[in-house]
Amino acid sequence: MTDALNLPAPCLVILAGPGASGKSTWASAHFPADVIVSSDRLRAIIGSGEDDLAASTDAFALLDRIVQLRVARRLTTVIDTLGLDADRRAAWLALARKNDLACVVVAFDLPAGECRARNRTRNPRIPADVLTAQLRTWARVRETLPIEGFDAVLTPAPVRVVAAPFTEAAAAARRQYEQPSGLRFGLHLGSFTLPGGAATTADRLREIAEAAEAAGFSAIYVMDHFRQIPQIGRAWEDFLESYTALAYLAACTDRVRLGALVTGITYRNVPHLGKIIATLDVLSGGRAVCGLGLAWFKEEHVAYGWDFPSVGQRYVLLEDALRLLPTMWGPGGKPFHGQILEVPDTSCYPRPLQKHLPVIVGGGGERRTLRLAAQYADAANVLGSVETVRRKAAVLRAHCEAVGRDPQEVELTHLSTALVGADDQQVSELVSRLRPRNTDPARYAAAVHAGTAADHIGRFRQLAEAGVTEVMIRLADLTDPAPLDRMAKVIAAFR
Amino acid sequence: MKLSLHIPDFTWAHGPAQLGEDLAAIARTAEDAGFSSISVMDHFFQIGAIGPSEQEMLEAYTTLSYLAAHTSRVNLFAMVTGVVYRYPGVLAKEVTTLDVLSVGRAWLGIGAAWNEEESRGLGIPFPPVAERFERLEETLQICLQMWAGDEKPFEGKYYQLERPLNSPQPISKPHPPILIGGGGERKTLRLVARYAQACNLFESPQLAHKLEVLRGHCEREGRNYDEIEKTATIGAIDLGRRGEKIGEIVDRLGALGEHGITTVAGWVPDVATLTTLEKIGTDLIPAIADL
Repeated sequence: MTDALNLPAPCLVILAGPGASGKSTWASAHFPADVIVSSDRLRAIIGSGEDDLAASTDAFALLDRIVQLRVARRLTTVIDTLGLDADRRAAWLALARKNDLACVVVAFDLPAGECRARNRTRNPRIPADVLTAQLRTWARVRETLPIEGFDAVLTPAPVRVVAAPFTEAAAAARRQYEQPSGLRFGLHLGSFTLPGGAATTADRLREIAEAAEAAGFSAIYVMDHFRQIPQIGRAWEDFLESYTALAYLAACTDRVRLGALVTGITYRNVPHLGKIIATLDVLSGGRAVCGLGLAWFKEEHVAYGWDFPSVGQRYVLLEDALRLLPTMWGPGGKPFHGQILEVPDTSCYPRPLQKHLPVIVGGGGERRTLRLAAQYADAANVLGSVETVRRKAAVLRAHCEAVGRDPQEVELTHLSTALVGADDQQVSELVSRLRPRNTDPARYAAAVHAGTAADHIGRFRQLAEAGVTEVMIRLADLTDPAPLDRMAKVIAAFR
Repeated sequence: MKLSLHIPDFTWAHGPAQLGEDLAAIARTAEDAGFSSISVMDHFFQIGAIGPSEQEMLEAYTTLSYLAAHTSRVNLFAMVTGVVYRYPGVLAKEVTTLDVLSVGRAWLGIGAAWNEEESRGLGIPFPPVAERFERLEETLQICLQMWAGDEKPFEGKYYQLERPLNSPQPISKPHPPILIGGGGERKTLRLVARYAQACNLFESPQLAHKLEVLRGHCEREGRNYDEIEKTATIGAIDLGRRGEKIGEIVDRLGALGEHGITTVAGWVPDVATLTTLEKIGTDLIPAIADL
């Protein structure tokens, strides 16, 4: 892993410093050529050379136009000029703010003697008096940069532009290498559109499950839907029924836990669901996990003609289910009287092999969902940034205290998408290949968490520090086992 | 004559802890022995004819998908799905998923459901028999529509589906065969004539009469009687301790064959020991192949 500083994508990087202080060299070392907008290069393009001062006014007008167009498209851009003009800096910063880009300035603070020495080796040289004037201006500019409102004033150290969620990842990854913490990984299968189509889905799925087990995943989860959800794909893409698929996966694997993340409470008669999960547990040798949630996908219910009660009623049903299912899985057949569910005989034989079948409640709703998790579940599964997770963790703890539950008994788990590349180049290739047309690469990279193994180690470490004990990962490019091999390196760092 | 293994009982010597492994071994052995298909019941409690309610009972479609991964040739189905347990859309997705994961080996075995005690026990609505039959017919229509890729709204008396989308479609073409269980003369056999690829009748003195009734329904529905596969259930396949009853079974199956039955389903005592399955494979299945 490198010690480079992570800049969030997209960002506007403004270089500032006297001539011969190393700006262009630094820029070309850390950024692709297309990203760098250089006043020298524009003078050479529209004038007679990089030092054609007569072309300066036109070159800067062009530079401003290019910067404006790139920033409006939310593209990472490096402005390679002297950067000594306060009005220009302010205008670029305002442009970045308007388009919601991070904006940093890199200060090339070389001692005057060193600048002069470097200038003597350049061809053509900057006239000595011009350089002296620049050095004098730079000394004043250097003082005001920290109070001009940039997100950071950097020194010309190595930098990488990373998907926004990884900005803090490098330091977190270092913490993980130095003092490893444990974390479980679950593979979340969000798509069944696999090469070869339905005719080979069974084989592809078996390969993926076997590779996931080999990569160190401790669980495999599927979604409980009947058609693909709009957040992931189109309605008519292949989608398998959850528990039928899980029972098949039980036969393909030996070690991983299996569950739906999360079962919509509205789709099946709830005691039938209890029977299905007990069956999955028995056939898998005690590896079932029960994920439960409110259900949200109204169009799907309408499409198939299923009842979709009000959110209040669904909460009541969810609470009934959270009470009923452990009763069914326990001994005997005592009657259950819920607020909605009446089950005169809760017999369910064979009972699950696990003495206690873990229940995960999905959803981060702070008032009701996390409270139900605190009251009844073994884990709450949430989404969102590290910052969001910290807040959910605090809310869950508070609910635990309010209902008299030991907070240690209720785990926090986290679901997110990941796209893992072996290195920066592979990450950007994957992003270009997978991003939907018309979707900005930086936005897509941030949405799917596109990064290297080290980036992911850092992000997962941050989640672990926020209180997460298991991360469920949907791999954006999971159509064959290859991405699982790349993920194995990440998982290995948390053993 | 083909033989189909019915597994109605999961109470075996090793207990629930080994149930998964035992079941996988039974399925593999049955496949190697030459059984053409494997079926399980669609119940949540053990049924009275076989054992006390508290005995082990696995959920049907979860179990069938597990078996799909442990076999490569046998057809798999529920004998028979109770129509009241699932929303029709869920059922169509489950059977389709089973078909895709088994690469084209799923059947939809279905019936009007009868076990009121079990449904009441679990709080599953159990409407009167006439309504169950109407729901059965609508469920068959919905499955067929979803398998035909027809997404237009379904407006039934009991079920309204705005967009019955089904992706992936089954690998079985044109769709997983439908088996309707039971010999009810007025309704069940009429539904067979109208919708099914197979019927399932009990071995009984009334069998020939039931088939005549089915033939009559076929004539009224304009259906070719011969394209419906006739299957029968014979209860236990009991070879006797030393196989002394094999001849008797061959004779019984021969008699069924004369009525046009081409597949016979039965359960096997002590199935988990595997030895009876193996013996059926060596001694019975070859003897009935040409019936």
